[in-house]
Amino acid sequence: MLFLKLKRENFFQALGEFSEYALYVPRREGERVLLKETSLQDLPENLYFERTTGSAKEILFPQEETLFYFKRYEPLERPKLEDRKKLVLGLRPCDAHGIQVLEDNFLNLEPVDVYFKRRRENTLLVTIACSQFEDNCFCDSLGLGPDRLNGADAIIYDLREAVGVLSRSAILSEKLKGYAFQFQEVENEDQVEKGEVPRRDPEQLPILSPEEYLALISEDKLWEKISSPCLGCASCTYLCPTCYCFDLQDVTYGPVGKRVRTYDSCMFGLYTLEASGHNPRPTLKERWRQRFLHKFSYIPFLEGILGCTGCGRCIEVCPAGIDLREVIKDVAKFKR
Amino acid sequence: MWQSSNANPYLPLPARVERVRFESEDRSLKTLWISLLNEKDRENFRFRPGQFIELSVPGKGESPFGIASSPHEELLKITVNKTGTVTKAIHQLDQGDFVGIRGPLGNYYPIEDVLGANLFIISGGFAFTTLASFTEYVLQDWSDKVKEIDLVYGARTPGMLLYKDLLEQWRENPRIKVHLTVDREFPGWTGLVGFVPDIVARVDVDPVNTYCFICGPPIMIKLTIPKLLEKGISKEKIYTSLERRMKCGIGKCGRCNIGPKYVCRDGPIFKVSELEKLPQEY
Repeated sequence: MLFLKLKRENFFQALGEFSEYALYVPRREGERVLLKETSLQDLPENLYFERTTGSAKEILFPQEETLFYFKRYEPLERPKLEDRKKLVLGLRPCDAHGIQVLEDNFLNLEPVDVYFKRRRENTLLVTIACSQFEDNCFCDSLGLGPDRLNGADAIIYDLREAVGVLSRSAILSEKLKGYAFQFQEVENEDQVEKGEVPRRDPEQLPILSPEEYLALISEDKLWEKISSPCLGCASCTYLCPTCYCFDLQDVTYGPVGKRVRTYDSCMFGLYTLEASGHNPRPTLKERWRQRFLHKFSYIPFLEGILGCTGCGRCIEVCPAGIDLREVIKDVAKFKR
Repeated sequence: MWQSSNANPYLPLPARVERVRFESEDRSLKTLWISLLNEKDRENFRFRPGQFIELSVPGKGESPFGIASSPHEELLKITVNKTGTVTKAIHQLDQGDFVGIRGPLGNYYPIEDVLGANLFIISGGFAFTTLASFTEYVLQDWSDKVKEIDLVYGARTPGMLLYKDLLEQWRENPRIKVHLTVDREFPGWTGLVGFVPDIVARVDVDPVNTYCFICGPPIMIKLTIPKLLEKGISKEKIYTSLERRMKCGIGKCGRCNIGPKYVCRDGPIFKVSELEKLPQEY
């Protein structure tokens, strides 16, 4: 990893080196903050970006994408993989943690997902250390933090007069070097100067081990209690940075068509409904158990990292007011 | 087992339906023989009994089916129950129609792990597909490396039994004891009468040196396992194949998991001793 310090004006100049990349940053549009393509001139001087309403996953794993085209009576056509290079600036460390979870599913566990891989290779993800906590976020309660690199290619620290960049991307390091007044190789991300990182006494959340969570799988009363206010709308899963479950569907236009991949959600009954009518997860009780255990037991078990980033989006969006922090506490009470 | 990392695991290989046949008297089950169009794909497509494919009907979608042909056959055989949108479309396919195939997917019945033992193959209804493949494969390739082979296979009626041609051949093969059963008496039926778990209870097998392979409707599996345990067969020696709704077939899309195990990637074949450690979510 390379830690670089750049004067503010030089940082913006350095971004000019990325002319072959489309620049994406969070932009407010009415009620929502979306990732939008922007020009270098429109970047805010103070490098402050609001947190996006949705998670960063859409950059690498869009809500809908075409996997390939076909003609009804002819062999399948080769898919077109997206080649556009993107520099995504201004996401949060929690988003980058979510990217790590997605990378494990789509890249590290065989077979490799070529669509995700191509996008990941063409994307530079530069996060910014949070300057404040958001209303419902709790990454610090999960042992993560608002200043962590996580799955990003680089993270920016606001050092008042200067901009600090911790980069693990050769491309980024190479291009920024010429503009930095100081740079050094570092082993550990805690060694670097981070400026003012928000700190607070985090709420202590009882996070159990994947095995301890798995052992709670038959606690019907627990899952009933947790799921009882849930409406099954699945908004939480659409906004969650680590939810990657998807559906595959064919769309036709006369004799031609395409296979599309769209987000899907374990909170929907149709998700697991079999053609015979049998549904292994027939009620919200089983679906909530799946959502919770996938994040807190199965992902840690398979990928070695927590499947929750503490971003708090599921808390903000839930129409029934379910608070994941409370759920975590409720679940822990059932620990045997 | 996987294609190289450069291959696109979502892209079906082009294939053609070569032959179709109604498999059951009520025409709810149809068998298709399929060939891959490209020479290179045919060479690369190597499967073991127990594995499955995702069959695409362009415009209708994709569904998983266990491979019913033995690895030596030139054409891939699957048998499809008409239930949902995709399977209805598959039933309308005829010779010469174009389809797509992804696979082979999933794990397989581990014949190498059970050499020198007796095999007890148990199946019911149209779930017989991969075990028919396995039985034929064992008879062709491993016959001199295993001891006794018993097959219990049952259906509601004689007309609902799959692959009668194969069953006839096996009945004349001294290497295998075939116990065919139907749910109740039928005119002209000379085989056994009774449900699969009860027939299994009556078959005499050596509890110490017998490996069991079960595939059937969930209720049959559920009732058969205790009968095997009563015989003294260990849970380590009972394999069963599970089914779940699937989409990707490669452990990515998230829906077919039972606890941390994906049926498509870690299964579909599990030992009963492994299933015991998982939630009863199937």
